[in-house]
Order: sequence, then structure tokens, then C-alpha cells
Amino acid sequence: MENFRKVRTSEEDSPLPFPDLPPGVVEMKVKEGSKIRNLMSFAMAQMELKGSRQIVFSGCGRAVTKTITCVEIMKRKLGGLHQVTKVRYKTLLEVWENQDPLPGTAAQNLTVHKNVPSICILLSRDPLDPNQTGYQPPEPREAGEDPTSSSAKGLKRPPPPAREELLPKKLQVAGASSPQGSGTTDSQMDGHY
Amino acid sequence: MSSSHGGAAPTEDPQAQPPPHHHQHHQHRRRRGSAPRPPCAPPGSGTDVFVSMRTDFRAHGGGGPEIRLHGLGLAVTRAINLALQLQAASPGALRLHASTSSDPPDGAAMRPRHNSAIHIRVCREAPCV
Repeated sequence: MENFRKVRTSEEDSPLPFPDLPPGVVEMKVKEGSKIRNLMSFAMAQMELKGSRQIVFSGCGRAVTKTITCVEIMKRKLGGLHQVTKVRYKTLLEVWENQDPLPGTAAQNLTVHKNVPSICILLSRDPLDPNQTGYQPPEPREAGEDPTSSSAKGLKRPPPPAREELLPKKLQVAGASSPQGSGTTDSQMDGHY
Repeated sequence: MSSSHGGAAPTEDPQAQPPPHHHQHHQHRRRRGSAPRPPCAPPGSGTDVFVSMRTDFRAHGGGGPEIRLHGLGLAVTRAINLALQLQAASPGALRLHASTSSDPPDGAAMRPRHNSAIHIRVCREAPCV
């Protein structure tokens, strides 16, 4: 295998496992390197500003965890979303090129079919069929929760309070070199623990 | 370095309170290196399988008419893989009922990080309700 090099990876096209899905539903294809901030800002804008009723998140392999994270964030922010979760295998086609072919013969390529676990999650504002496999009803809202506080702009975490344990190390070092001495800095930190 | 801080001592005295700095570093190291823990929900029966990254894949065995697979964090993919392998081994006989959750971390962390989790119920025929 050391003589082979992976040239290309492609996914086999497979339809979404949700029958009766209205056309034009946004499908968020979550990749391993996708940023959750980018995904959520687009998805929240679709659901809140453009008034979409349904959205699909899908991801495979190492992106499965990130897909679930996005769905959980969206459920927590919007609330009242019905969910259907489907798991399946997705086939990846990998093309491996022979780097050390026999003299006088053309380079041969190997095509490998690889099955990786994938997940597709449908989130809907409208009620879905509770008898279908993978249905999950919306969670009841907590008493102190404010549903109007979520917005596409409000995705960023509020700035943390300016407590001393959050200060970067440089500042603490600077404090240690201050005329007060390092003993003062240590006693301040000890007070928080 | 004094002898009380030697790394060769296998056990620690639970009564002894380490100095604050050591306590802080110890917490940090333990949080990064700890094994994924099972979800907060207590197992309802003996058919719950908590999938982890440290268990051999083939060792996750279960029995009975219905088993529940729980995967937390990085082990989510592994739990899905196990469920799909079970389904492929008995074509047409098993149905998978997957649900997701975010497990709140234990302890009062300053910035709580939720862990994504998946719970898959592997049923014999009709989907579990």
C-alpha cells in the first residue's frame, strides 16, 4: 500500500432519506472542517429571517458529531422543533494511484469503495409523523427561558466577565513583574479557588 | 523537589489538600485526559450499551428484544457504526430508532460545554415508541 497514493475521493449521490419532503428545503452538508459559527449563522438566517419551516443537516464520518452539535444548538435556540434522525452508510469512492508501476506498463489506479457512517437530521417547525422511525418530539421549554432572545445576530457568545482567571497569561506575568511583586498576584489568584 | 511530590507514589491521601496551583493543574489535566463518561440518564434495563472509544469494537455485545446504544462525543460515529453493522447482519429484522441529545457537563464550569450524544434503540420489528 505504500506504493499507492490517494488521488481523489468522491461521494456517491444518494437522495435524502425523508419521503414527502417539500422541494426547496435547505440541506446543510456538514464537513469535517466546517465552522459551526458559519453553519449556524446561515441556518439561523434561513429559519428566522427567510421563514423556512424545515431544514436538513447531514454529515458523514468525523463530521457526524459536528452535525449533531449544530442540530442541538438550533433546537436550543429556536425551540419547538420536531426532529427525525436517520442513520445509514454512505459510500465513498477513493481512487488510489500506483506510484511505482512495472516498467513498460501504464500506471494502474485502484478504486476503493468505503462505507462510512452518516447521519441525516430533519428539523421542522411543523409537526411530523410521530410513528416514523427516528422521530423525536420537541422538548418542553423551561420556565425561565426566553424564546425571543435568539436571533441570527446573537450567535456569538456574550463576552465573559473580566475576571482575573480569564486574563491571558501575559497580563499575569506583567502583574508579577510589577512593583507589587509576584506574591500579590498569587494571593489574588488563590482567592478565586 | 520533595519526596512527597514524587511520581512513584501510586495512591494519594484523599484527606490531603493539595496547594491551589497543583489543584488547578490537576483539574486541567484530568479534564483533558479523562475517558468519555456515559450519559446522565440511568440505564433503564440491562440492555444499555455505552459505546466508548476505548472498548474493542467487537466487544460491544448485547442481547434481548431491544438494546439501546449510547454514544457520547467522539464515540457517536462508533455507535452508529455498531448499530448499522447489527442491522446489516440481520437484514430486514432490525430497525434503528435514533435520537440525539446534548449532555450537559457535570460540575460548575465557567463556560459549560455540552457534549453531543446519540441514543440508538435497536428493535426487532416495529419501531420503538
